[in-house]
Amino acid sequence: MTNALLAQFIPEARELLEHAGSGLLALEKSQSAEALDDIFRAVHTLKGTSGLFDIAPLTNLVHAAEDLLVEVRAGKLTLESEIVDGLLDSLDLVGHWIDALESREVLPDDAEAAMAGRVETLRGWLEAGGPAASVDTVGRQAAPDWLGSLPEAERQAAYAAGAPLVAWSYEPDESCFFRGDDPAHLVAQAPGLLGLRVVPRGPVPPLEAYDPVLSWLRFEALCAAPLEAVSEHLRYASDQVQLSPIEPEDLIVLAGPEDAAEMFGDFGVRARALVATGARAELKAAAAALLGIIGSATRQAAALRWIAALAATADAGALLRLVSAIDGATPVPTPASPPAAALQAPAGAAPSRTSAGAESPLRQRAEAILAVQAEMLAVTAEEALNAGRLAAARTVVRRCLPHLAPARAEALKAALARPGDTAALFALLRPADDAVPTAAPAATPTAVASPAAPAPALSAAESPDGGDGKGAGAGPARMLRVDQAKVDTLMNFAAELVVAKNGLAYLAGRVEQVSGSRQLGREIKEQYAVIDRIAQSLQVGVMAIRMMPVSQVFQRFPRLVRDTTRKLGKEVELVIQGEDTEADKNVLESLADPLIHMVRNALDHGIETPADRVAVGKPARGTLRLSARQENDNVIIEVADDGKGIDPEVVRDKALRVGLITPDQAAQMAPEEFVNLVFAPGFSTREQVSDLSGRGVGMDVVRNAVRKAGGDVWLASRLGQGSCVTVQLPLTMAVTRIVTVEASGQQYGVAMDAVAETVKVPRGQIHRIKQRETFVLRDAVIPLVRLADSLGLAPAAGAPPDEEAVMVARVGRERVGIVVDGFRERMEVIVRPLDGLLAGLVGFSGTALLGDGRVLLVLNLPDLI
Amino acid sequence: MALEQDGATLRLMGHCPVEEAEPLLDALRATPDATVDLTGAAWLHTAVLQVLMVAAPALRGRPDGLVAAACLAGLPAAVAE
Repeated sequence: MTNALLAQFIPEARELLEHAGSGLLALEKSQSAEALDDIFRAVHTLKGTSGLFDIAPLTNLVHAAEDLLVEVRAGKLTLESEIVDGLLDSLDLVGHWIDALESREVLPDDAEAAMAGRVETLRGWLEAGGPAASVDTVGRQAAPDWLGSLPEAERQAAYAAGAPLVAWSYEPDESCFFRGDDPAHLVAQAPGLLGLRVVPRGPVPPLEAYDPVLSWLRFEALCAAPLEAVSEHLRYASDQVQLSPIEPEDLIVLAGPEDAAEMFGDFGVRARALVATGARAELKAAAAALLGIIGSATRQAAALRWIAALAATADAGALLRLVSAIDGATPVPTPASPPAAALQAPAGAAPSRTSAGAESPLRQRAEAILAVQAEMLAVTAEEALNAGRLAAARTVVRRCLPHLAPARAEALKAALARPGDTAALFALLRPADDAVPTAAPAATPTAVASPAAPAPALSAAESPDGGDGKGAGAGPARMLRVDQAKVDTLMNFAAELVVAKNGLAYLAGRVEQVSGSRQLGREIKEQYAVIDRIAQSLQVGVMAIRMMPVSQVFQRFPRLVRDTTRKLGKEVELVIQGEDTEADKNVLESLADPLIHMVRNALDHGIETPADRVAVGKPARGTLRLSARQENDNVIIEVADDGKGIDPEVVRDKALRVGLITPDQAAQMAPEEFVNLVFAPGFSTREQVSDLSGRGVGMDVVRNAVRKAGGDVWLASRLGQGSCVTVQLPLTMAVTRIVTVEASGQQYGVAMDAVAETVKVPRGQIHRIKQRETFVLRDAVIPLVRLADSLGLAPAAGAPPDEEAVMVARVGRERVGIVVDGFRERMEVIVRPLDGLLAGLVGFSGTALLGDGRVLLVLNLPDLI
Repeated sequence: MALEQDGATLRLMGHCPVEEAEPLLDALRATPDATVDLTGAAWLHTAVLQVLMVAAPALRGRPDGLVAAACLAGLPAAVAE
């Protein structure tokens, strides 16, 4: 691919499509806002990035899907199965286009037409569903918790501006500066921006360790603009933004300690009368007068300020609710519950000291530091020491200033400005504890650290956008997207190193032989041990890169099962277990197609229709279980259904009819062996060829694919209770442990996995049953195969030995004894498949290079038997 | 050059892009008592605002706009000379 950008886009697009697809299925199962956000994010990103290329039909289609999702997210459209189908189909189409892009760098010719049809369908739902479902049914979203932390003046201004109001929070992700984003600029340009609070998203690193290129701010903003306008403005950051439309009443959040003074009762009586008579100017004056008397930090004071600000404009109901908040009388029943709830004092009306300090842990700490300074200054010391001590204390105080309540900071600053006046500074430091409650509330609320903000508000501020926080706050795992070919090359080098180091062992032997120096030989062996250890670690490390969770393969199944069962009219619950199990990427890829085939088989032939199931007393809903686990160096994957199972009789009859087995063979076979005949080539129990499975290719394709990957597959079934297909695959295919055996003077490799044991069998114990030689190993009859005969080699010269060396190997699940002339050594090699002229050679799985430069043929045992 | 240093006074001028964040940080680290003069600053990039928020130097003048105000509200004002 010449276009590097496009090359990058394709895997990313696939990933996004997968996300969106699995999200849709999850969403269909249970309505979760999180899943919806995921889908939306994926589709939105896909739309955005696709715009970089000349693929308008793709962008248009994804755009239409996104619009539909916007409506769903806004609650204006219910996500019915039909719509999910439509969205999934559209995603599939996009997937096909991505494939086309990958191979030809252009969309197929019919893309425009295909897109038009799909977009029409999607838009059709949009129009039909839009007006039908009214906003009221959704229920209004609760206002975000942090609203109360915005400066009161800004909230009052917004209240005056009236609806539509949007409260939104924005957490630019950590690395946004690298993309050229300027979050502050984005926020500043927001339409109708009225209120803003900027808070750190988490602990802020100290100046010494501060990294200026990382973003750590969270913006909480209030805009007097329609939701659409704000959302359009923030469209490029939509995944980091939480928008909530709010009502003006939501802005009235009263916080602060309760003041139980009696005069509030009097004010309440008077104020109600004033509201009733419409004497708004007098109400304002009364509120202002009372404000002049009481402390400004209490909840009542906040309510009074609101009354003073709103008296001229607000409706009577809102004012009465505010009055009730002041005198504590029963509030006028109100249809809108959120404002009423907002009027309640925050939990337990935090006492004034904590309301000033708890909100900002930094401030508390700064106060603690000041207290220690005061203690230190209180200790008398020599004049000479004192000067330095004082200077140190002054520096500390100066550093603390930014974190203190503004009023207190000002006072301290003034004291610092007079260098000689130690006493004044000391005096200010000393009564720190007592000074806070009076000093702090006097301060006007500030944006960064608002004293009026109750402690819970800050912690709760994180929660409304938990979805966002997970992405940005938890520190995303840093991923590297690397071309697989590069990893493969690295893997090859690592594997070659493993093999090359084997050469050192040969060398050590040769040194001992040729020069007779055992000392030198031993030293080479020691070096060999070191290189061996490093090579092993390198290999393990590279292998770990290639390991992927089985979920990579499993994740396509929910969709497959859903589509297939809908088509077949069956009800099936898919249970996936052990998707974290890891295996080599190549192994997993080789597994993908066989698994699809097996799942289709299970759904098509295994699980019955709901009616049939109920008739035999099973639950109408069938269960298909996909599970993965690791056993030694193998991955075991099982596909189990609770369907009707396979009838061994039927299989036997069919096998006899098509001549797979002879009647004699049939007579000797156990029922479970019949069942496994389904893996034989050309076998299909169903007479009818259905759309889904049984397209002329049977389970033999599955077995071939699995065996090619070095694994095996078998089936267990109980009639009426279900079947279970088990696939066993090696964890990795890169490096193979082999043992070399000798036959007629030639050496061959055999994969260690296949070797069960090696035994010496006296000639007398080898019996002939019909044409086959056999021997008895621990009460089991094991057939024997002579390797030299199988390979067509001349028998070894000389008299036959008294004992035969027999390698008992597992082929499938059977054991076979292979007679060889002798065993040589074990080693790790890379088995390279035969290619070119040798590709068709039967009997060998590949070649491997030995440490001394010779080429070793590695046997493929199933071919030989 | 958007950042100028004049003794203990750091002056940010005009439009301060993200590239100014690092020199500003270095300057503030080197001069703990610095006063930052923003009277000539038209626009501060988020990264620059962040540095100011972390270092919390005394400020002279504040740039216009709600965002800068919200970010820098907690910082002390420079003592008038």
